[in-house]
Amino acid sequence: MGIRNEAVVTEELVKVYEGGVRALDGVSLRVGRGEVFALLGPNGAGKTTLVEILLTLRRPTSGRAYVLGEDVSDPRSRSTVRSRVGAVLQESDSFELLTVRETLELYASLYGADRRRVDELLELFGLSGYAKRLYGKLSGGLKRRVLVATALINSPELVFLDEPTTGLDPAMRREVWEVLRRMREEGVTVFLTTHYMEEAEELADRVGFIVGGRLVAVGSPRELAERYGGSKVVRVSGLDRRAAEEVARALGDVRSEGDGLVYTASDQRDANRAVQTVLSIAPDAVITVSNPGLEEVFLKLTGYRITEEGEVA
Amino acid sequence: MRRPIAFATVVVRDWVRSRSTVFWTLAFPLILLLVFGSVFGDVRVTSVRVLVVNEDLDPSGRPTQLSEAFVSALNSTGLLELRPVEPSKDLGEAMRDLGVYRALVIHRGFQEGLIEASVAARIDVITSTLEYVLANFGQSVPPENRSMIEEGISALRQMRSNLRAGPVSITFVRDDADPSAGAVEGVIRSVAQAFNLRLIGANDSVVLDSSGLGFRRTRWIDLYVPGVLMAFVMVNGVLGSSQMLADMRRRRLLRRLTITPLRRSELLAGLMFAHLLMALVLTVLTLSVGWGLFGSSFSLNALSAALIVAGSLLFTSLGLVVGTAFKEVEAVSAAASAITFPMMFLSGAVFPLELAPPAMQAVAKFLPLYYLVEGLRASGVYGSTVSFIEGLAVSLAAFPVLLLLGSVLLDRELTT
Repeated sequence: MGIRNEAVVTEELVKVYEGGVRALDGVSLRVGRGEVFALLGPNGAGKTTLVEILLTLRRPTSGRAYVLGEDVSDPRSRSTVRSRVGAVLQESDSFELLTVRETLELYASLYGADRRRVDELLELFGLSGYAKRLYGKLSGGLKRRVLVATALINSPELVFLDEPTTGLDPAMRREVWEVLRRMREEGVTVFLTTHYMEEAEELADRVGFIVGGRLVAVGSPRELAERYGGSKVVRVSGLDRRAAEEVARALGDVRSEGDGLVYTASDQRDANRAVQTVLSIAPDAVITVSNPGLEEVFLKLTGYRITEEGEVA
Repeated sequence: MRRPIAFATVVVRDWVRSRSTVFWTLAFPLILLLVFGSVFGDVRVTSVRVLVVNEDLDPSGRPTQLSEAFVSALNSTGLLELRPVEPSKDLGEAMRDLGVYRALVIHRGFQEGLIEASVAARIDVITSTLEYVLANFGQSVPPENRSMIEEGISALRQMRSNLRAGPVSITFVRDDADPSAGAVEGVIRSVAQAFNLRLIGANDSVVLDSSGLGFRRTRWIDLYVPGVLMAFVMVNGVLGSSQMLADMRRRRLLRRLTITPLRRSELLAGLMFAHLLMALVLTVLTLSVGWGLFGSSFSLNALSAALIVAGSLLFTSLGLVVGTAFKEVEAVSAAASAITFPMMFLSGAVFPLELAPPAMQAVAKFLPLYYLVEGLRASGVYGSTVSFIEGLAVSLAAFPVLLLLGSVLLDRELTT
């Protein structure tokens, strides 16, 4: 597939900031049109830097990057890229004293979009009832909905969503996911960055793991789980401290998760053995056996977990 | 034009809907105008307050005729605003109470001493005249007449010796730090000299004719209205635009708008246009209050309108530089305040610069607001063009430099 047929292409992309911080270290990536791609990584991994380069806000130190076939390093491509994509930047906000409708109308004016598009998006995102409400008076979840709606005002071919749910409580996060699912149904290509594994699993067709500016793995959640996640995950809870210590000793390679333990089994047989071991120590323990998720993949690849706040642990 | 207007609409809406912004940028200048206009509205710009303590009272406790005449003479100059203070009251206390640190004390015995001094002065004139006549033309005077003259001189000398020897003194109490004290002292001296001449019946040999401007009666409010108007065009431009940019940066809205088709030049044009609109609203309101309540003689003509536009552009571009040179909202706010408030007070916009110490007057010459205020007063009050041209020249020279600098800083921040 040629560069023109892909939504995003990067080749050996490097970004070194003043002071020598290497934010991106040779990132090569392809995102197809119509795809929902999630770039997963902890804080400081280089996700936002990559998005800002693709949005023509930053210049790469070396390497190439193409968005919708346009070279983002070429100043002549800037306006073309900006008019064809939409974006929700990390921690971005809007004018507190504009109403929801006025906010969308502002972006419609900037893009020269039809005012009917404003009504469509209000309807699509369930914002019609809030159209006259000031943006500053909305809840966090509604604000994100408005921001995502502004990203779609120009009916873009590609939308960048940089950490669109960071800082939201789980209910609000699910509200935003619902919106993103609707975008997928509309056939919009989505480039999403997040540090929430569950979010990527729920929404993405393909996932890329980025750590320390390097892309360490790319694939669909299923492919990645099969390739790196092991076969089964055994979660154990309802143990007292002594029992937990004994289970950990007996199984060996376990990790804590909340007030329980997690064991990644190599295959079904290994999972069965682990269940029997736990029951022999603590017959009342609550045990669940499931297929591995992205969290296990990330752990396997890096040796770390990503906390709720986006830090590595 | 669609995109700059869309952005300008946002800036204006943001301004109109923020109660604190509307208060500080629109209501506050009007309140200042109402308060100061009510207090000083009809005061002539040249009048200076002076306390007068008249201790020279007649037996009934009223000021003597001559001391009152002296005060009337001072009053008639129109240069001083005299405030009487009871002689029984402590002068220092009265000064503090009234906030006026200049006082003229007419001592007890002023009238009596003045009458004696004037008689003595007349005798001195007569004796010296007679002595001059005898010394130069004595040989042609018959001996019997000469003897009579000598007897007359002797009698006059006898009379003179019984009269007060020196002049009557009055006291001007002044604060050495008061820049207008010298001018007030000069006014009192000249009135005293005129009084002296009148008392001996002499006529003025040199007469100074002074005349007003003739075409316009300038009052303090006439100068205050353009001063406060331009000062708040400056505050709106610098504080308003810098804080708007800082807030947009904090919300990452500058970056968000950058990835829309809105060009940098369109963003800046929208910002300038919005602040120009606000300056025009401020102009309409300020002048309406000035004209409607205080009968201000300021006229909004093509020249004064041009200066208001130039001022708005200049100060909005200064705000652009401040808003892009500093990263944090607090730093931007502090820097903008550090520029606007001293400039407002040092440029003579709100307080007459003539009352400021010389060093402060020298500083004013380096402030753009000084030239714009002077230009606005010249064009709107006196209808003159010299200061207008200076004001316009300062704006036209500084505006493109600041705009370019702000634009470069903004560009550097948004594309790295």
